[in-house]
Amino acid sequence: MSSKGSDLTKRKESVLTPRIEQETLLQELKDKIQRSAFDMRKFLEDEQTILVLIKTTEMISELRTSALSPKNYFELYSFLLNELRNVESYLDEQVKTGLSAQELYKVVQFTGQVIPRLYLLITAGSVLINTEEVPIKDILQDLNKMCRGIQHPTRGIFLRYYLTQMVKDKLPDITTQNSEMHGTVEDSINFIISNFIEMNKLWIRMQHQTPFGNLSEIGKKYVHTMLGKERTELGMLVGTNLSRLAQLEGVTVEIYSQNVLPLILHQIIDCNDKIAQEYLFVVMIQAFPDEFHLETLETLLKSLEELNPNVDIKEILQELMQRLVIYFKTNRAAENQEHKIFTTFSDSISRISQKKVLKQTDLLIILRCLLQIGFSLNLNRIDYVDYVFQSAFRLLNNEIIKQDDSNVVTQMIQEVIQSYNNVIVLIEIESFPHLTNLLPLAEQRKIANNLIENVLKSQTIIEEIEKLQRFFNLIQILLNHPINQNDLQFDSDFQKEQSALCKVIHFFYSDDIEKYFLIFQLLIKELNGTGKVRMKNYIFPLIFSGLKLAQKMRENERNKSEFSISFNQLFDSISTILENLINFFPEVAFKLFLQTAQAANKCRLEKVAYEMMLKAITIYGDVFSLRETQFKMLFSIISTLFTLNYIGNEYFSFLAVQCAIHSKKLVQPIHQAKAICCCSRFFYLQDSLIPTNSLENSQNQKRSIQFHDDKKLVGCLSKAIRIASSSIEFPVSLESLFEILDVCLIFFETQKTNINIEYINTLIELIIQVKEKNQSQPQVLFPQNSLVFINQMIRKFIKKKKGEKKEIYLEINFQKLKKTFN
Amino acid sequence: MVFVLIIGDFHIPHRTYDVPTRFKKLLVPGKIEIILSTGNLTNKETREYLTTLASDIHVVKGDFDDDNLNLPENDVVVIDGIKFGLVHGHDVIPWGDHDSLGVIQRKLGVDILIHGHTHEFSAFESEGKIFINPGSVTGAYSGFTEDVVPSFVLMDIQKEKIITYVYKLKNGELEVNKLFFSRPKTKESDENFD
Repeated sequence: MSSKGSDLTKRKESVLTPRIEQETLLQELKDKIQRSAFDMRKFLEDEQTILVLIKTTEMISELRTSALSPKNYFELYSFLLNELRNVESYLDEQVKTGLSAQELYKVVQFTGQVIPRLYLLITAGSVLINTEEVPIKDILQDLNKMCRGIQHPTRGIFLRYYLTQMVKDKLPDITTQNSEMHGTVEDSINFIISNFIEMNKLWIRMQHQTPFGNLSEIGKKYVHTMLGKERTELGMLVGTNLSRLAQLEGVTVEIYSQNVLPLILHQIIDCNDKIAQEYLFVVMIQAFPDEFHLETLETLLKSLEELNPNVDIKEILQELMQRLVIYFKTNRAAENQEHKIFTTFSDSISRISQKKVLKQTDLLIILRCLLQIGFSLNLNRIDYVDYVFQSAFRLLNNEIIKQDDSNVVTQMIQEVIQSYNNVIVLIEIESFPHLTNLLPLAEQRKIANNLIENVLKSQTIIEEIEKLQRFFNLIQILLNHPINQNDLQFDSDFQKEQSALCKVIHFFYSDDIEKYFLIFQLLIKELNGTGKVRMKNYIFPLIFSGLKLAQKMRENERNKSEFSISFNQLFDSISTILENLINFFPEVAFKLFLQTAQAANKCRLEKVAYEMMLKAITIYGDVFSLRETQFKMLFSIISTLFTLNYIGNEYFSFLAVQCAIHSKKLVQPIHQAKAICCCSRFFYLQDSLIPTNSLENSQNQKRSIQFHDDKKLVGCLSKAIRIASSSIEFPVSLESLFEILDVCLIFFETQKTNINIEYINTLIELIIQVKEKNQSQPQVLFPQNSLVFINQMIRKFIKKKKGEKKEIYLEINFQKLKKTFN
Repeated sequence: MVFVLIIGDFHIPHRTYDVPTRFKKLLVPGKIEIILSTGNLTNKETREYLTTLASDIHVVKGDFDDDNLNLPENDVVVIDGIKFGLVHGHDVIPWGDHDSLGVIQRKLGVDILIHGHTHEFSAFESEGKIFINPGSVTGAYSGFTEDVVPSFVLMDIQKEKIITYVYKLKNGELEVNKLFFSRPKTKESDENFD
């Protein structure tokens, strides 16, 4: 035994020693206890009770030390506890075989030092309780009173802890016998609460101990912090009282709310200690069942508001709310209760936020918990979600949300989106767009894209105008966020985002014409001002939305359903949009004017169709005349004109002539020839749209008005022939001529035009001449595919001689052609 | 047995949002060896969708296709000894006219001409050559055809014959028709040619 060790044990002042000294001291004390324990056990076996008691006293004496930190003291206590339990068992047995428990109880009070005296008293008291010779209530009260003798925080707390551990299983409850000796659960309640209060006081006082001698301010502060952590952990000892209390069956919800809770809360609030309040409140929430909390919710929350301003209420509230969320998953609240529960929470949160004790982030976290509560109570109550969003919005004071907060808000919003998973429901949340507007740009885009994805996946049609407006409010950011260089890349996220938006527009329509028209106008309003880059994408679904509406109106008209929108209103809107597009995207405007012309035609609006064609032709003339794609544009105009079967002859012939005129101006002769040849077909329209042998959809294409201008017809064909034979290079010229011959034969077959036998035969002669003139130059090779093409055409012509109309072909000289090219 | 998917006129996202779900379930990778698409997809996303179905893909340019896709105006593909021609059809004047289609077929020198644009399925034979229009797979709006029915074609090329499966969605109900063609003769016979 070193002298150093004995020096330490003799020290009486409350001075804690440095750590290494602590560990050494702890070990020494444990060794001492062990040595006494060894002897004690020998006496125990020999049943020498008095010697057992004396040795026990020796062991317990080591707990008199002030030199150990709380953690180390705990370790020492635990080490001793095992031995004390042995002693208790031993004494219990002794009592059964004759030892008087009451006498034991009296005798141990003569122990010299107060710590051993009290530990022994508690032990004896525990044994006495087992005998039921004395009312348990009295024993408990006595022990409680005695423990007040130790006011040193560390020693006192562990003493009382020993008390709780010893009587733990012996406390009366409603499940145990009801007798005078035994007592009632009320006695247990009173005992535990009293013990709890005392332990709490000691624990709090532990924090204010100033344990050191000569340290600097910084030194003191550091050690204080480190030890503070240890002391905080001891809160567990205090908390076990609450757990034990909750375990009593006799603590019903009524007794809890009327007797137990008020006392506990009173102590917690009164002690005004941050650490104690934080810890004990949470323990209380965790120890007692959730039904109890629901019953006492208002009281709980109000007392939460009375806690020390330094307390982190957020943690406590979170704990409570998260537990209740889980609770509600399996236990539905009664309908009338549900609303009360929500408002109790929301009122409390409102009061807390007004007090401004919590940081903004913490309040947002709590609002998120409130949202969860709302969900778990009743998913159908959108107003709960709206309330939370509104509160969050007000809290944020219309400022853009900073990083930490934006995560919480975004999570809230995502949870709402996922929970409902239905855009129609989501748009009913009034404050939704206000809140999202405060999020950083990237988050807003994510959320908006989420919503669009939702519509696309669920294929939800939105036809009510108010709902659609709300939807657009929610996704506004996609229509107006700034665009950078990267976004313009073909494959960027921006492009994908815009593509999804275009797709979603196809879900905005109605079978009701008036509704559909309103939708169309809303689309124009929302999309039209979004700028060049976006309009390039949006213009298509927007215009086609209008054209589909026109189609529906036509359908309704045919079915004799009435509606109040006029076709002109609609086509005026469409036309205006396209007009404004001409300067930016002339080619797109051009194509869409042609589409609009077709749509107008189907609606039997000849004037509108005519005007749309004119607009397209004008754009062609102004913009495309010198471009490579010029001939394609003209072919588009020509092919579209062919489909306009409800236009009257005056309009039609004007447009046809325009086409012919432009055809002659094409840059390449080969295109000129083809275009003019096509135009010739405009000038003979009888019964069916164009003279042809067969055509799909011929029912739809029936022309209502007959049109025949033979002069122009022949004029076009002759012009085409002239160009083909003189301006196009051989051998392509031949191919062109055969194509022209093909068309001539169509007219020839009708037998109603001036394309007669002479005309055909003259053309055949011309073809032969062209070939012979050019074939004489030996360098010119005849390409194989050209030859194949020509021979196939000849074969086709010859077949006509055996066909339905073989008579008229009798005098046509196809044989000569065959000879020439074979 | 070579399976050829003939499909086109999607018009996504200009005129509609997606291929009908009922069709998507049928269009699974594995069976299809070649895709012949008449165009008007109109964007890269749809082009990429085709790559999930098969690796040998031929698409031609429709009048609304994105320039960035760099699609050719027409295409000629030889499949199992048969020459296929592929055009969108908006420059066949007048649209859908059999004679004009015949001229193009002869110009390209093909046995089977695939064309689209009208958004209406059609299949006919003319002088031993076959002409197929798969229609619009999405049933997209057309200024030309009223009451567009979503459709596409799956061709099974066998030794002696060609079986053409036509898939249509009429009022939400799937309708499948089978058409039989004999393989077109590539060599012209000289009968009736006097």
